[in-house]
Amino acid sequence: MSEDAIKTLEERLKALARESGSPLSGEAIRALAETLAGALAALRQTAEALDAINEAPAMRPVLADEPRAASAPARG
Amino acid sequence: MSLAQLPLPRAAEALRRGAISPVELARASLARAHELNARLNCLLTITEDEALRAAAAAEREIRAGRYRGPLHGIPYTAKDIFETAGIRTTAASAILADWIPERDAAAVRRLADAGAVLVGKTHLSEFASGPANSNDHYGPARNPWNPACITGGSSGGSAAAVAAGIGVFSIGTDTGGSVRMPASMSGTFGHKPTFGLLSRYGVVPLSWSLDTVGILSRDSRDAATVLEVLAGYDARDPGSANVGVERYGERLEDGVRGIRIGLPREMLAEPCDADVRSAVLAAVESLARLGANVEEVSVPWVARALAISNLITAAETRSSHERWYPREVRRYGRHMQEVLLMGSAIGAADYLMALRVRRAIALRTAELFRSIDVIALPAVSIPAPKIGAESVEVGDTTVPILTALRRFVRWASLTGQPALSVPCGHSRDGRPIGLQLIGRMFEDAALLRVAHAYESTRASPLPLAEIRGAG
Repeated sequence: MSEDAIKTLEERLKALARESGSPLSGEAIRALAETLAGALAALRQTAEALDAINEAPAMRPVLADEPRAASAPARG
Repeated sequence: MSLAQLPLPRAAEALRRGAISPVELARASLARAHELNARLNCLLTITEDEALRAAAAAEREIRAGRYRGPLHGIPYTAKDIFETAGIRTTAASAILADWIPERDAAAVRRLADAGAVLVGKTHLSEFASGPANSNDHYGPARNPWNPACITGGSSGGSAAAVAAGIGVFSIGTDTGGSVRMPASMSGTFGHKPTFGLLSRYGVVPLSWSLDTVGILSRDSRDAATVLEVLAGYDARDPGSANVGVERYGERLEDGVRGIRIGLPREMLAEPCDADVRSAVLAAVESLARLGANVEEVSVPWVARALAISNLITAAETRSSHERWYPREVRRYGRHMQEVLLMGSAIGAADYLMALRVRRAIALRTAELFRSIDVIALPAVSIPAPKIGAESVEVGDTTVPILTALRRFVRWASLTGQPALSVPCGHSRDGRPIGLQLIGRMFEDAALLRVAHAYESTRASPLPLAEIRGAG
């Protein structure tokens, strides 16, 4: 994850914290930004590795016999 | 052995025959609750009056020949996130500190209909968020095996109560490991049934696409007995699955000959305490000696399950708390404030991408389960850490506590598969360790059978926690 991405998220979280009246400290918000940036980076890497863009969102767990990506848009 | 510590089958048989009375049993359980709660902080409410009334009713019915079944007159506890009519339900929060619901959650109602006796509402992480059962409002639940250590969360009070012999079993919830983690660290059996098998009606929601009602008990047989009462379709829960309910205890003794057990190579390469690793691998060897076929499997796509599930949970938690957040932001504890702020920052596109990845992982997992029947791995990578610890040394790696606790449980949370933690030993300094088993969707009976086979390899049942000075 890049420092730029963390910084951007940190600013966004600080703004949201201000709006909501959150008492979280700047240090706590910085740590949250690092966690969130890591999770989002992991999401993008995994989505690419698994070609997940072609899957339908699983709004609930998937039954084992469910047809693969039944409602996903066509590839390409 | 005190009356409160009787195993479920013996207690049920004694109740059925009239050898003991439900009132005696409830009084013994309540006495233990009063005695131990000051040390363990595992109960937020002791339901003394309600328990004695229910026990007296059970006594009258049994005497009159109207025995309802194996939970009739059995004392139990419920995580304080299940609504209980007329009994406060706090979700271990300040926001709901004085809330007295007018209805019972579906699980509580089913247990009442089966004649079970609620003796207490158990402690949890605030709104069931967080794996340590630390809590800014009510203090931490303490581990019966070592009160300086966490119970694990979020159903930590339930696990501690079962381990301490307060009630014979407990009901909890597992969104991202919240039954299996405390079960592992508190030395109890913890079963997260297949998503959709048990109704969540009347459970304060955290993350609706992951929340699952679960069972904490002393062993697999007790879990199967409780599951038979709790399982079943409920139209009031949009996640409920309209599938048949089995006799989950019927084939527990069928053994594991020919069962294919997969050991996930990449997950076992993750940092893991040496005592945990050796106890879990020894347990799997025990299953192999009973005739199970054990093989390594490769699951590189599971590596990011923790990050993906954190995104889904944070976003859904933020939405679930729309009625209180941000208006009541200062009434939340720090962990919930962090989760809610993080959830506020997750965009719709990222949330939906996380759900796409979840489906991709679930489909690959389903494919894997064509060649195996069960996955075996640790429930938690470390034994229970000290309360307040923020990181832990695992081998020569320093690992954040939250990662060390949650690393192995999120896979089955994402896919919705049944998963359980069965006690499989202790660390060198006496802290419990759990073997996690994951099965196929709706094949909870087969999963319980594997756990039962493992339990049968132990020379004697694992003891309840020995608590100094406890009667």
